[in-house]
Amino acid sequence: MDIAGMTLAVQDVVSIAGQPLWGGLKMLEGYVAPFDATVVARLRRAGAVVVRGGALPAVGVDSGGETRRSAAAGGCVGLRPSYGRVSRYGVAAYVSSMDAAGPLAGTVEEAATLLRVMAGHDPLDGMTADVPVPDYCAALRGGFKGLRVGVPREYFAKGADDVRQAIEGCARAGAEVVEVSLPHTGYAAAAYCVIAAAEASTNLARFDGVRYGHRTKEQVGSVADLFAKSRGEGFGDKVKRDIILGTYLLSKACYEKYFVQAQKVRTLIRRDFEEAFKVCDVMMMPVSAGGMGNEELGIGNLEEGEFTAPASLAGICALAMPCGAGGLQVLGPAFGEGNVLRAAYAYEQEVRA
Amino acid sequence: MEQEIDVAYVAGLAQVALEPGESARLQGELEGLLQYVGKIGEADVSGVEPTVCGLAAAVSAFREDTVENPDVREHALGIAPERNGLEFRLPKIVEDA
Repeated sequence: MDIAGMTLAVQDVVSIAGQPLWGGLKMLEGYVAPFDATVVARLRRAGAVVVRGGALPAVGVDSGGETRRSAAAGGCVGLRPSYGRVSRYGVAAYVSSMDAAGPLAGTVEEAATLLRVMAGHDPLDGMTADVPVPDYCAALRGGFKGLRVGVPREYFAKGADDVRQAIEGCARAGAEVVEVSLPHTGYAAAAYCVIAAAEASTNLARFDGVRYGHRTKEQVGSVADLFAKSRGEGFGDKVKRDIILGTYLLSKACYEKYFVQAQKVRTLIRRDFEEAFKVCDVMMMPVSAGGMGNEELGIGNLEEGEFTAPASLAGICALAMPCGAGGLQVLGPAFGEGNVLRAAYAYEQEVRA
Repeated sequence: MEQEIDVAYVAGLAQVALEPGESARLQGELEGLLQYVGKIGEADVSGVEPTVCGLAAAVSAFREDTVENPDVREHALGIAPERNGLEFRLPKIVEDA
């Protein structure tokens, strides 16, 4: 498969030279990106025509599971690469310790092809790792034979029969299925919320209406007033809520209780995965718990991320694809995209077909 | 229930001006969120070091200290809310003494 000549849409948080960024955000009105994001430059070099994305772009950014959930809901394949696998240069920063740009594609093979082009060390993103990029397409053909698929029991407490049946199909196709445990899963969505709000509030502090973006037209009495009015007008409800929450969580009274506690919980979640990946190569589980929370409080959105936040916190790779009501998620250890794609391809070709 | 967060005060710290009524709405939402995230306090983290980022592999975060970006001055000034020649122009602000 070759992407030369293909037209690929990227999400509006990824810079395309000469085009606006973050389309929905009034705060960035009038902003035009001065350069291509590294992922855009790489896709162009491979011969693709890169355009601003529609509802389901070919490149999306996954902080807490956005790419995976939209893939599962939209009937396509979404991959969140390991942290440090794909450059974030030119990608609007929201949750810096978790933002990961990855492919959204119609098939697993397309996702593998796109990842191979996008991945790799970038001197312009100091957090990209200098780890060789394998031929992800060649890795696809391995099949289930000899692949150990972990099934974390915490993800199946609410049923997820469709995913369970899919895993049984994988076992019949040759996968060695082992039960594993990720005991701190229940804390992930809350820990993600704390860290995401804190990092978002810090990242969005740069928008002040001085050098670019929205500036208030109202009379201002002080520099702080200029910042506050411009920001109050420019940010939407959800962003304002994140900024205020994050500012609060980083205040002296809350820093240890919430922020450092969340980072420690993050360690527990990372260790859960390290332990579990000692006995399996990949894991399979649902994308979403399917439970509905209180939308008015935004908690519905948080619980929606209950099963996607853990991989984000741990910095590992995760792929989502359609399967029944909840979607199938395939997780691998850091830089284990090869086996994740192999398992997803085997499921797509041998089980779902 | 005692309010945990003083939204109007924190919004001031965050430099976000709120519309009348917005503060009361956010107060309810944020109290709910704080109640939800409070459950991380139940986790036993004794002796556990915090994780600040998701990276497991070694990174080469250093590079040569050389200018690599082209001159983007014109571009930067071009997207400013207001410019004055080679300067960013700001509204006149006279603070009360």
